[in-house]
Amino acid sequence: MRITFPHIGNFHIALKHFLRELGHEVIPPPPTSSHTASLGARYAPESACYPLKLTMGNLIQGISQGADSVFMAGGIGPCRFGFYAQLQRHVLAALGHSVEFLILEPPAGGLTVTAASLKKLLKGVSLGQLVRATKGAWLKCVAIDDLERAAALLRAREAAPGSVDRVLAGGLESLDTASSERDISSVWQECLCQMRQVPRCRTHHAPPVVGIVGEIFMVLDSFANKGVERKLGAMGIQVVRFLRASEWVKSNLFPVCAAHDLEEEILKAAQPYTTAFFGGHGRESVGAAALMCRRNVDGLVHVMPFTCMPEIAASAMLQSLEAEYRVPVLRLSLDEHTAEVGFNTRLEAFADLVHERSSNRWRNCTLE
Amino acid sequence: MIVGIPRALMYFEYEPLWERWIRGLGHTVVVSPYTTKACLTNGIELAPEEACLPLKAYLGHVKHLSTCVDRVFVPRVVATGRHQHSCPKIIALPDIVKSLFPGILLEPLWSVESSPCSVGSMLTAVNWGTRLCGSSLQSFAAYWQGVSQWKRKRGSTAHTRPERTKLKVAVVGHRYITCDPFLSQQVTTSLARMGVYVLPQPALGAMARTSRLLGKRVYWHHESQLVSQALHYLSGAVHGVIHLSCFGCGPDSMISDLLAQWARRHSKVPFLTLNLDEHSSEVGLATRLEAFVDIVEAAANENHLSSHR
Repeated sequence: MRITFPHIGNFHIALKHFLRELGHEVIPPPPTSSHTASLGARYAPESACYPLKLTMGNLIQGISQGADSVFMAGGIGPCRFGFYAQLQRHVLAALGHSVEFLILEPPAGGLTVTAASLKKLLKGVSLGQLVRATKGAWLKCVAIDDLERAAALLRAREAAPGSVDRVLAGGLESLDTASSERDISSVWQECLCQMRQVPRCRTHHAPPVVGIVGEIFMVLDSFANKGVERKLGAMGIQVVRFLRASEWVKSNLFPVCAAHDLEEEILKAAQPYTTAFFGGHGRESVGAAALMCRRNVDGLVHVMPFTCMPEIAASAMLQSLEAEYRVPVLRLSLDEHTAEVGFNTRLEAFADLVHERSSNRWRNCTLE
Repeated sequence: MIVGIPRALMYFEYEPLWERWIRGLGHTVVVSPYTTKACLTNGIELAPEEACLPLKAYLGHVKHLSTCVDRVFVPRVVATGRHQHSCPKIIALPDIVKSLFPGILLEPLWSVESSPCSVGSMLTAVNWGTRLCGSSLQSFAAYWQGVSQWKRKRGSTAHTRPERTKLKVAVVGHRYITCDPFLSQQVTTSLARMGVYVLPQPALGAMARTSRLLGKRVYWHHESQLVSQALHYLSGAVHGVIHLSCFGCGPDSMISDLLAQWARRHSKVPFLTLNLDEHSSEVGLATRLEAFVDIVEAAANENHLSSHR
């Protein structure tokens, strides 16, 4: 089996490791580009959401490079994600590609599909091999999350623009090639060390902090969100976010071990605004935003794909949160039509606002 | 207490149930009038920018009610049965209303997770009603009356006999669009004016196998109804099928293209998708409907001829 899969942020590194350790040939699609987006927009339903179009483009590119199977996650609604795999299969079939889909559905969605996929995936794989592959992939996943977290912290403080990102890119590249657990750990630590040694600019106060909330694909994938995290960092703003791929894997595929402090805290913070799960990361967006406001962020960025149902509902709740905490919220609703220049202008204006707010706070602090 | 019920979204699925029930609990019930232009404009001003047409209308209804009632009844319809979810915006509806109109929600929140006739919802309903009126007997009687009225109403629409002489066209789509004359831009009446018989849309009912379309059960109740109705009609029960959808409808965006493709491949019945929003013009719509009726007529004649050849 030559397996391909859609991109989400940098997590192809972990997924590639997992599938390769299981003994499959892996054909990761080329990095998401505007060509991917146009391929996806051409073949996906017109008003489907942006992540579907991007992942569709990924799969088409992966298959044109010789893949014959697709690895995908499923869902049970009410978000549209649960139909991605089926729609992709449908579109690929209409394009004349007969590919096999290996779909991992969450346990609540029935075990037959997942069992069939796992059977194909684990054919001739020993238990030890499976454990090793899972552990390695998990370690990589956590490492990527950790490196991205560190980069968001340090980017706002770097002296030479882009120096943290260069270290991060190098680190991710060597993480991709690392195979044993020991290698992964050492690459991870080494990259962290290098990042900490990047020369920082000298300022008299800490950079302003902006929280990113929203739909997980759009938050994690830097092509989809037009590098919002990197751009804010370059404008001297420290970015925090609670959405991490490792958390998603935990809560969706292994819900047993999902009882997690941060998640509980987020859901508790969402209580005054909503008490129900309404699909996707809508409730988490509201909770995370409330939690961040309590921790005194200087601004919030709400990233979502155009027409995303849970996030539209969440944005109504964010309106009341915005008024309550008097914190600026930038709503970025993105799709393939979003123009880079207009996007940058909005981001710059928002950054100015945030800097002003934060320096006012510092001024007030010193006066007191 | 005066309780308002917006005549929008899920109201059309549970039509006389909620009002009978709450009236039976001893409260005055006001159901907002059908959507008007002013109502929609109010909603557009309040709603988050990308909200869909029916959600905007709903908020307009709440705004209208907020001037004349004490509380507004906004139930949380999570699901209408097993594996029959609502769309996220409908699930989050009470929260959206709460954040835009603080203090107007009728508390405690009424949450729908199964069919109104199921034992589970009976028990929770009686419990819920008791907290509003104090007597569990009265609460049970009120709910029972509501449910029986609802069932009677559902039964009556399903049995209308079509007339033989005219062209038969089925209009499918979310009932909160097709049943709202303003939101559906009078599609039904315009069709009738052109001499077309429009089949009444059955309410929530038995679902055919919806997995035929995609290889997976459709987990939204409106879409699974839509798929089962459309596939039924496309198999030749009518002369034409019109799918009314609205711009920005998430579940429909996944389904309607597939339905159109399915219709093209497997059926001779003409299929039209109309995507509505507050910007669509009546004239443009009328032109499209006229063109569609011409096609339906031609297809019907052709099928008629070929069956006699």
